[in-house]
Amino acid sequence: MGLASYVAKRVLEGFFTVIIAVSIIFFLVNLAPGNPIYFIAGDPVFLSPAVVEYYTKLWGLDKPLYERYFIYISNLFRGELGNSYRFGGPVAQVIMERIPLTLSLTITSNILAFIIGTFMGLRAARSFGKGLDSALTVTTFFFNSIPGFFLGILLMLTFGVHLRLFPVAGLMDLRNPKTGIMLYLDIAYHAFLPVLTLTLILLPAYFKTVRDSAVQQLGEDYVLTLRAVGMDERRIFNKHVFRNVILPPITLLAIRLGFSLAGAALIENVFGWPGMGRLLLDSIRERDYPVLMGIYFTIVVTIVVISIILDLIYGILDPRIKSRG
Amino acid sequence: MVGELSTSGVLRSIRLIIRDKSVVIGTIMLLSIGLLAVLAPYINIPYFNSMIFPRFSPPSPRNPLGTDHLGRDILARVLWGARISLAIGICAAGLASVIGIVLGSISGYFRSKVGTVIDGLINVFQVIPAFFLALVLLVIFGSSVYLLMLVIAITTWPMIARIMRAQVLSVKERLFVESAKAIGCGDLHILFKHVIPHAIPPALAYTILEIGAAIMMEAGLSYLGLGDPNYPSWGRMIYEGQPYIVSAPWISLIPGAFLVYTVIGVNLVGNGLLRIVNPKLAQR
Repeated sequence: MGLASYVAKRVLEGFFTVIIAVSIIFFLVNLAPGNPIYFIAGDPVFLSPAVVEYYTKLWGLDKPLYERYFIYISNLFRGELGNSYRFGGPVAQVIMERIPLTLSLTITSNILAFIIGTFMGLRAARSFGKGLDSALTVTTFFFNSIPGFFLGILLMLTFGVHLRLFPVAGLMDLRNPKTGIMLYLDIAYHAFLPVLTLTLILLPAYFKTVRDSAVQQLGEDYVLTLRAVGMDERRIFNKHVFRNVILPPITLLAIRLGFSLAGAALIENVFGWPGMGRLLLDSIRERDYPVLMGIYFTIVVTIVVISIILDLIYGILDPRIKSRG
Repeated sequence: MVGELSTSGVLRSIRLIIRDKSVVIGTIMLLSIGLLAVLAPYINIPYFNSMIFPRFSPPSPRNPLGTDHLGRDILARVLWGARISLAIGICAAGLASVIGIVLGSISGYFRSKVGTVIDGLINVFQVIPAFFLALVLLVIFGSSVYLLMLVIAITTWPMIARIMRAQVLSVKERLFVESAKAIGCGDLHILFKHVIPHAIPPALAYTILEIGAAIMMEAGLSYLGLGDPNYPSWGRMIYEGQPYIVSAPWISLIPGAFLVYTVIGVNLVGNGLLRIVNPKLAQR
């Protein structure tokens, strides 16, 4: 199979995956008991039959389900995500406001975890079986076994409440608002604890992947040869072993970046970070279905696109994968 | 041919398992927490929902782990919480494992239309963030212990299915499968009698790890207030204690410690077993 038809096949597959995934949530959400109008109104006192009728018309809830479904899907094709029940404005706008805030947390922590985890993995393999190796293995094992939100609470309690080094929650200092470059520094300062939490949670997988495959490389001929010619151990690991173990953690990074829009909901909740995760939780609680569906659509498309790109890169790098198609 | 599940094979595996330090430590940790969970109704502790004690009292002889914001005994709640967390973890992982093993095997063995449909299903679930789907389902249908189990199982089975599929794909190329075909055994017979027993060990080890993941997921969902409000669960206790994290940290920290302890136990056992049944998979 040629590369072009392989690409076409993957894109088509991805397209159907997105449609099916969106359909599942559409029907789940629309078959759910409870009229969203009552949730938005809060107190039934505010609802007169006229108001209910107005919103039912406005949101198109008077049409039969299958018709709403086709309207929704065809709107998606035109890039229309509809209007938010809560804010009234277009869903795309509501989501776009939150995306940078979430990505600033997740991309930063994913890249940090990737770099630190890979480095630690190589370092542990270099002293395979010694104290440092065990210490790093045990530490990362611990962080692999602690739920992110609980780690977040612990870090908040230690660094925020007791040591008072970092702000406990929020996006910026509201009592003392900053402008210009100071505003960004203030946001970064507030992002420190959530980023630290996420990094610690994401790190173990990189560490384990790199350490275990680097340990496997120890017995390989090229390592023995390099040792025999007296090359510095650090250089052997950071240059030669590195090249042979770097692909799996890169794959992991790419997959996780795909999930990075959705991945921080719990931790955003702990630290009161107004990102996608918070928006998601709020729109679920408030039954703001258009926003909910919009977030979901954005996440699914991101994941599918990244996985297609990843497949293509591998297809080009490794011809065997392509023919398996 | 001696199968992986024959008596001598089992004895050999048991010997390997006993020798693995992390499995032994993990098992002891799990047994300790399991014992507490099983014995909770018989231990002389207050009823977990009775609000008869002073509020916010720190650990004392009367309430060894203190009381919460409603004056409930935290020891009692943590032990009953262990029942809920373990029950949800084990049932959700078990259910996910059954679905995953059956669908994964079918998709790996029958490379026809059925296989393609299941593959497609696995692919779709792969792009739906599990936690997201679980959230939506719980909010829509209202929370209960049984729904939690079901929701966690529905969102996590594809992982086991993928492993099972890969295993079945490699096992079915082996000689004894061909021999079975040659003497005229039916497909289902071969699949269930010969292929699955050889392919299943890694999937079972992953099921153990899945228990830890399910317990964490239940905790996360309960932490957002989506757990079953009728029973104490660790995640819910952390959630309820968070507003008082500064003045009465034990309300959140004690259930959190139990949660971490249990997940560490599960992961020690799961990783150890995975190393034993399939050294290559354990490296991921």
